Amino acid sequence: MRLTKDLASGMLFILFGIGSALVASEYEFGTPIRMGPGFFPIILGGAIALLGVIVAVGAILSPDKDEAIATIHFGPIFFVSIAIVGFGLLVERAGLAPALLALIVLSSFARKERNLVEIGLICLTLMAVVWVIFLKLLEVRIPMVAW
Amino acid sequence: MDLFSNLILGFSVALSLQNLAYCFLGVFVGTAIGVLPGVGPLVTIAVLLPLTFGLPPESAMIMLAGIYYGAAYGGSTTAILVNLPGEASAAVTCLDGYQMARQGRAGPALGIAAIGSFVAGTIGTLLIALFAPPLTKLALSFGAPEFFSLILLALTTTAVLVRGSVIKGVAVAFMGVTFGLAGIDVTSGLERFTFGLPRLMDGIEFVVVAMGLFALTEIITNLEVEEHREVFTSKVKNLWPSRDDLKRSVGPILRGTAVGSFFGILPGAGQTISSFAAYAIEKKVSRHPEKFGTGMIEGVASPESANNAASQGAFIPTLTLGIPGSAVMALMLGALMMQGITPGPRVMTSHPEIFWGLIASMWIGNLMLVILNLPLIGLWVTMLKIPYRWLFPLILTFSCVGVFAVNFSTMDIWLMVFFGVLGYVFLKLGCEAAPFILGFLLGPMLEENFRRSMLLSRGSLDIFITKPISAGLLALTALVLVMMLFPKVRRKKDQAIVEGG
Repeated sequence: MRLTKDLASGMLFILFGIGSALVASEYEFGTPIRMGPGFFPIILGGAIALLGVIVAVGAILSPDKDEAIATIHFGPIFFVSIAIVGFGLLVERAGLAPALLALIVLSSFARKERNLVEIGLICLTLMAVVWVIFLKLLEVRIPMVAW
Repeated sequence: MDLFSNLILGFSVALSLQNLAYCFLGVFVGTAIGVLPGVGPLVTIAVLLPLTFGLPPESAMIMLAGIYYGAAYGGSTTAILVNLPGEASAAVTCLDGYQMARQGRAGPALGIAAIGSFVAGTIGTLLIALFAPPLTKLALSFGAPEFFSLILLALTTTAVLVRGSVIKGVAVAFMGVTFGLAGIDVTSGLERFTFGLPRLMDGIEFVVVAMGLFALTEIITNLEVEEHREVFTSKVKNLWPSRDDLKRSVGPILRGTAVGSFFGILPGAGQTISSFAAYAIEKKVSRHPEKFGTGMIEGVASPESANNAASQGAFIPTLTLGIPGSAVMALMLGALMMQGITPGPRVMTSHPEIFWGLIASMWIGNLMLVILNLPLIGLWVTMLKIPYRWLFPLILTFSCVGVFAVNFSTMDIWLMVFFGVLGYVFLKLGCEAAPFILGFLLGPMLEENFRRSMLLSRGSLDIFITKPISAGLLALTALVLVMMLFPKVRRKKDQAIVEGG
């Protein structure tokens, strides 16, 4: 059996629905008149899981209607995520300038080719833009350099 | 008459020097970013959202509305000159607009798009001013059961009107609701879905979800495909359409406006459907339907007017009921909530300056678009030439710094990455993310109104059926869902949305 779009999304819904209902089962359920904090999320989780079952069963019963998942390129999603994590790790410890440097250099690996001079120029321009818009105009208090 | 005193109040707010400046800034920045290929209005608004947080509420809303119109017009410019629709609703404009550009008539195409949008915007503004007060009055009589049914209807129709399976859309919306519940439960004071993280106690920040789900996902998918575009830039001269062009466009603009105003009030893909429907109608009434697709000015004027009228109409349920009909409207509503204002029918009476100021500024914003685009088209054309490898660092920078600046919390940055990945997974699985953001925003309201209804009815679900308005709304929800079970209706819907996007 191929892992198609509908089958995979059905499974995602089932997992998420059951998972969220399980987490919510730790909260008091209550009665319909006096709903506890667990009442709504458990019902919701059940509904999501049920919808997931419908989607998955539909995908299994008529597989020809379902589409295959398009090719996933891991490069862009990996490097864009890593670049933002790099920004997040540096922005408090080292300041905005190093964080932006990490963001831009790491995210440039999401493309096949890169030009070092160009990346340097983009870095400098964006640091200036951030300094003017966020630090000067909006008066956001994040230091450019801090360690 | 009330209408006039309301509009006068609105214009007195919108015409203050400060708000005029914010309106101009919004329209300008919105157009500049919206013009960039691969950057749709949704991303533009999400990325620029943090810039408005420091402003007073009415200025923030006025600027955001400006960004919205600017981004929409910028998207049409890209559609006409590069054949790349920034969002689904601009796709129809590509058909004849791009052909006009190829024939060296890009100028008139852009000009008529601006004029059509302005006419539609003027009529749309009047319609809002006329219909908002009675709708608000109706909404004020709503109790918990009515609101519960209304939110359910909004979530369902949004799920129905997106591309692909309805069931998947509803499931995604419910997932959004679950994420919306994270944080301290107002009734019991208990932490839910916080996993011990203190940052999550106040719930997940709205901007974080919007940035991750829309901006990041769009960057990642854009980076997956190679750049390829052909820009017709050298030929953009003389924006004014000829007298013949104008004469041919009067009918299409008015018909487009009518179509757009009608569909705009419907939640979901109102804009996409209205621009598609307007194009189809023009093709039907035209004496030369075979010429559509070869650069007919009617094929630009009508969908552009419809699109703009619909985007105005979308404000009606958002402002009067507090129920957004699309992801963009969810962003506007989210911005309002971040300003500390609870959306709903009370906004009009408790904050008339925001309500009527925003409406007046819609008209002013549309006027600015026409004035702005005549002298600045050269600048937009230059911006079109910016390659994506320069653009995505800019969007990433604004997203990261913007999200961090809201709370100075790195947790928000990790969450943004999480929602970016989630958005990418949705995309690869053929699920639309728009119902998610609506569910996320409306989730707490859905639970609260359900809880209150249950309390009122002493635990009986009958209350949703015995109250006439609630029963009507639920019947409508059921009707929409049942209609989707008929293969013929479903195929027609998919056809409309696919051709439109």
